[in-house]
Amino acid sequence: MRKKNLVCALLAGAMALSLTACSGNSGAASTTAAAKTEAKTEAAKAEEKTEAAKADAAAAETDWPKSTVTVTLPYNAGGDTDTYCRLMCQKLSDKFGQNFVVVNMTGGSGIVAAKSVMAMKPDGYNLLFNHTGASLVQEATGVADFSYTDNFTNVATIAEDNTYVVVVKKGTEWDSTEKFVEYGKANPGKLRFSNVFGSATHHVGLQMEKSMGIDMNELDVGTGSAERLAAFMGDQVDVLAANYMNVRDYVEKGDFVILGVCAHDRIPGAEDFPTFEEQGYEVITRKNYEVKFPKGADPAIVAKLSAAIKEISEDPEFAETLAKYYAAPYYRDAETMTQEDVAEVAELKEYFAGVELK
Amino acid sequence: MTDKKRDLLCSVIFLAFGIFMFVQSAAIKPLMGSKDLGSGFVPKIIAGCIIVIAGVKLIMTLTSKKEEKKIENDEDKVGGLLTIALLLIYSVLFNTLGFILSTVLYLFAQMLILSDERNRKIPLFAVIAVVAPVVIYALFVYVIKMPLPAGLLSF
Amino acid sequence: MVLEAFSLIFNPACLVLILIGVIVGIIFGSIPGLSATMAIVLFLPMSFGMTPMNGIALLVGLYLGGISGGLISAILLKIPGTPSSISTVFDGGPMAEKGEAGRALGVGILFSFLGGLISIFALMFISPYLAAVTLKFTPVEYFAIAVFSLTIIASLSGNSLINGLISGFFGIALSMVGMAPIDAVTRFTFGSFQLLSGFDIVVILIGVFAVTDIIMAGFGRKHLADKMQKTEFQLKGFGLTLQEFKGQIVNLIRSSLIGIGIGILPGIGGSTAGLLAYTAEKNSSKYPEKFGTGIIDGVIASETSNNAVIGGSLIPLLTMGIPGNTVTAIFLGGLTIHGISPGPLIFEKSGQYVYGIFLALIVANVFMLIFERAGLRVFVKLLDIPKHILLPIIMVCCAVGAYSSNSRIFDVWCVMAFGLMGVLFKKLKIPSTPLIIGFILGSMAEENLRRALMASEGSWAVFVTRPISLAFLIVAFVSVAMTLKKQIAGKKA
Repeated sequence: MRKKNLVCALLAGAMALSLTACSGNSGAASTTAAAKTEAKTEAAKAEEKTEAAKADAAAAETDWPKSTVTVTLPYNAGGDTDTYCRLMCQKLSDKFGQNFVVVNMTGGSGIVAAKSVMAMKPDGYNLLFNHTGASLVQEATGVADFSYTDNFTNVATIAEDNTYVVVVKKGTEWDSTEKFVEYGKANPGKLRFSNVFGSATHHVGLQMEKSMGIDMNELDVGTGSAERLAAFMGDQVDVLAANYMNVRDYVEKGDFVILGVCAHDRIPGAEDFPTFEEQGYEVITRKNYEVKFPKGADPAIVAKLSAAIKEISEDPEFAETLAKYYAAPYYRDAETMTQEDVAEVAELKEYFAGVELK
Repeated sequence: MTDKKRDLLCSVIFLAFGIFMFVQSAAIKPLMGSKDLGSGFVPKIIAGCIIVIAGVKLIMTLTSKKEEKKIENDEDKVGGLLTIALLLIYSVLFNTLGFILSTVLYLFAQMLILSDERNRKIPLFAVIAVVAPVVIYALFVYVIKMPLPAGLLSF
Repeated sequence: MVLEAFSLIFNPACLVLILIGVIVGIIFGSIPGLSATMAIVLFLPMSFGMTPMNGIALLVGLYLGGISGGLISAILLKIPGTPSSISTVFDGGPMAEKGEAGRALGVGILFSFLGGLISIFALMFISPYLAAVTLKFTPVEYFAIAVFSLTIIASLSGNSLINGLISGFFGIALSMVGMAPIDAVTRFTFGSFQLLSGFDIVVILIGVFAVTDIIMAGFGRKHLADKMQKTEFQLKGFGLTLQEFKGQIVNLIRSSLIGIGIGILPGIGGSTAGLLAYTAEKNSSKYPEKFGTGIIDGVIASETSNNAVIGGSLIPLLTMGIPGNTVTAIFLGGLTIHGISPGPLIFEKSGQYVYGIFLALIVANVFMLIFERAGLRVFVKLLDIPKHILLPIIMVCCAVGAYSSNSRIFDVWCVMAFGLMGVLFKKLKIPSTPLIIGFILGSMAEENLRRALMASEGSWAVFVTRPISLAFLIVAFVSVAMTLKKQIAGKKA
């Protein structure tokens, strides 16, 4: 019995310790995030104001949340998505005075979590937190037999991560974009691309083939970013698409060369690397972190939560944490998010049409 | 039940399972064309292996001339079946009644089933049945921060 | 840098955090259903608020404690507290039944420590070379290892090879449920989305070990009270003499190497290491027939290797930024938040933290040894709790563990279903260990087979033309042939 008491006391001590440490950790705003917000046009700002006013009016009508809110996350603890989600939940808990609990529910590439949330009550106490890099592609390829837009009530987008890059090894015959395209055209089917069937990576591969006019050999050498990185280093594939974060040190050391960034803009904080777009190739993938209710949630609750998420997206501490992964806060209200997601799914569907027969 | 009957039952069960699995896997079409084996290939092989092994066992059992020996049976069917029934009820109530209430009921009933006249101490069981779920619930929900089904009774 | 690391680790706050980590880890590791992963997930957000070294040291303590704690329930309750200690049950359980629980624990703890220590030294001194080995392994080699490991089923089938094979193949079949590797085709889900992710190993373990156990207790309730023998024991040291220790040195080295080897290969895991080391020891022993009856050799092989996985698994993580299992993946998240990025530049960019991790591992390992040895007496007291009270409480812990592995009631139902399946297996005299092995290795074999053939454009020759793969396949073939020969010889005798 005494041993147990000791353990409890130690545990309590540890927590107290970590709490005090936490409070001293709010730092300065990240410059990248600041730049991002300022970049928004005046028109958008005005629009936001009326939006905000509407949201406030609606939000005032509801006394949600009255108890703990569960946020289901289709990824493992410790990853980037988990980190963003937990930070958001902590801020929401602080704001509303109710617990926002994160539940990690992995498996089935996120479909298990999505379907579980779909089946829950749309009473405002169950949320799904995921990112479009996985969800919209699944919807377009039919891996998911439901719609991430139609079968949910969208709330808001909170962050974006546009740091997907394509790397090759230095010292190969194709270690620059020009050489790569040249080699690819001369040797169809020779370049081996690390593919994950029906994912954003697959989309990147297809776009590269189309816009560069090359034909790559798509191989599955692993699903997780770690396995694929190992396979790339072990010479099992020649081309790897990965988050900048995962390959940064290898690029810095000079082992890998970045062919291009798969986004409209260069990566904030790593502006040396050109995008594919500026090199004349249409290779773009987006990853937006979204919050959704099961279908049929009360619009007043949606408005209230959306407003709170907007606040978080403007919080410098949030931006600072995201910047560690080269991601940035990015707010979209439910309407914009629904429109853009639907459009993106349609676009993706075009790309994936007929891929199965390849 | 005799050894032979038991082995016969065993081979038939797995033979049926193997055939079922094979039929199911045969319906899986490869998505990626000739590049990949497809998701039905390995399941078909495994199902095939199960069929072969269960088949061999069936033949071996049918041809064996070992003496028929009655397996000694000293087991308490009531205790076992009650435990199974209780576990099934528990897993159904886990979500509907919530963790605390369903666990109180389960613990108390399970301790009753497993104990006999010599060591059946109802008051002690009752205390454990109430205290243990409450402590576990508090630990998970407040310390570990992993939600358990709240159901009717929660804090 | 090394000096800086010393000053970062050897200060009171950091040492206390490591101690807390180790103790909490052991508690999580020892309760079936709770795992090292959960412990780390729980403390991860707290570690974010600490200084980088303190935060990481805490996680190191949790990892080491979590893996080490598994032996307690494996020996005392015959339920592996973590998947890594499955093979500890084989001999640890029987030892406890013979009244040697204290000795089994003592030996297990000592060799956990030694296995951990050897792997930490490997991590410290030869990790760059070992990391290079990782890259030599392509899907071809992974497939060969999976096949080789599956041949353990033959050695661990008990009296009836055919029943063992049925169980093993059934385990492989279970691993195929859900979304398939490579092309994500949904199979064997029968329309239930809950089955998309397949079954969790924890769910199967809890079902087959714990739920089956309590149902069998129900069937045998007349004798439940008889078995309660008071365990009198006087344990000096760790329960083995110097002479006995010398006899285990080969075992220690072999099992450590297996643990490190499996640890550095991403995606295989501690449970396979324990099983492989156990089988290797059994097959090279002068008295293989005694394995499974409660001898220290089995406990030593299993516990040495699963702790050696710890150092091994940190090698690819630190040197290449490649996490090999769930725990190290979460670990990677912890490092990233503190601005430390594992990879080729980690020594240049954050060398003091790398040395700090090495030191923290050693300190945590020592704490584990002291705490578990000191707590041994308390652990053994568990056996004094009457079974009719202990078993239901364990059952509740298991239900909670199953539920919280993915926060869904579906897993609780699965646990019950696997429990019933375990009872059926017992009634049909089919061993359930091969099922677990088949389940663990089945998906690895399929995934890598398909990857390998995709890369070789359908040519099966790759498996015999690549030396590492060929070697594993030959050893696999020989070991199966030997087991068959023994079985036939045994039948005739």
